[in-house]
Amino acid sequence: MKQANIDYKVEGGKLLRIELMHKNDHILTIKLCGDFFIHPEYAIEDIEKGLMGVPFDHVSQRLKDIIQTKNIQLIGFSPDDLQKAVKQSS
Amino acid sequence: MQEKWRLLGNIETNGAMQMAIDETIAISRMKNIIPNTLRFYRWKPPAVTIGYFQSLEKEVDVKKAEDLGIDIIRRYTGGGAVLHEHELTYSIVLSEDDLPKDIIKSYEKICGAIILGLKKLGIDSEFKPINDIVVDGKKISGNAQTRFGGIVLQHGTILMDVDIEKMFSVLKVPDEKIRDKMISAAKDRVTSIKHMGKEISYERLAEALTEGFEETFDVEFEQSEFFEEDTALQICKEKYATDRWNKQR
Repeated sequence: MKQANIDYKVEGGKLLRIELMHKNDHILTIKLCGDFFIHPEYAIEDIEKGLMGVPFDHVSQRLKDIIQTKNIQLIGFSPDDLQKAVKQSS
Repeated sequence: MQEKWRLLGNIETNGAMQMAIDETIAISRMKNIIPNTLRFYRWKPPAVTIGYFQSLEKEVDVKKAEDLGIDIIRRYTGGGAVLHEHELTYSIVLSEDDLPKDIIKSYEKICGAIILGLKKLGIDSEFKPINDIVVDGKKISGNAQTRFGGIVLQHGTILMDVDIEKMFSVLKVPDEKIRDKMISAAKDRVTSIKHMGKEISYERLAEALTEGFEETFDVEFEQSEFFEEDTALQICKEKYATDRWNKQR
């Protein structure tokens, strides 16, 4: 199990500041902070829970599924940005 | 006849209470007790606010803020950390139906009212997505919104003056080694009414911005008192004045 703190500036977007516990390129836990917007705000919990156990390569798709199912809007970063950010720890 | 929206007089109080007042207005609007409401305010004492998703510990030098008598509050809205001192802050609460559905377009619409107000004072500015207003490419206004129960709450700042050194003394930078670089970059990126060589009073600015909102939304504002103080005090005490809320992330 490894821990990583990642700062990832999205081009034309916001700064993702991620605290990650991971193992074998899978997310164990993730805390997603930064100056972005998520509507509704409380959906951050659904996102962080929904990404537990997800392989790095599937982060984007999993996040797309979560935001579609729960009708969440991300402003300032995209699911692909989050996947790129997380992969910086591998 | 033009629709009448509500305009609140300046309430000068601490940051936790200001955030509670904004939320209270949003709740009252959601319950349809009040019409769409605009207000302008100042922070006493100065305060740092952090965005909903920011970590207080990562963004703010708490000790330094305490030493300087600066409050720290987490906002209901996303976005970045801001030092509120020499500025005019506005908040507008309105029905989602009065704005474009698309969030960036809704920022553009509300910021359009600010831009129009600034133009009346001889300041040419433009909207810079996602949520900024710039003058000659330099930021003069940051804005943030939340939506719930069919209403939109957007608040934002118009910088009347700015002390970048003080701002960076309370805001942490991701890498201490490049602090000086970040300060000089911020000086190139941020401006204020004073830095443009203009002398405009808070009252005159508020008046011009009100006109900007009236013309943008084709409405007339009616001055009103804030009568929901008990609710705001409760929200302040139970939420914005607590570590549980402010240190949540």
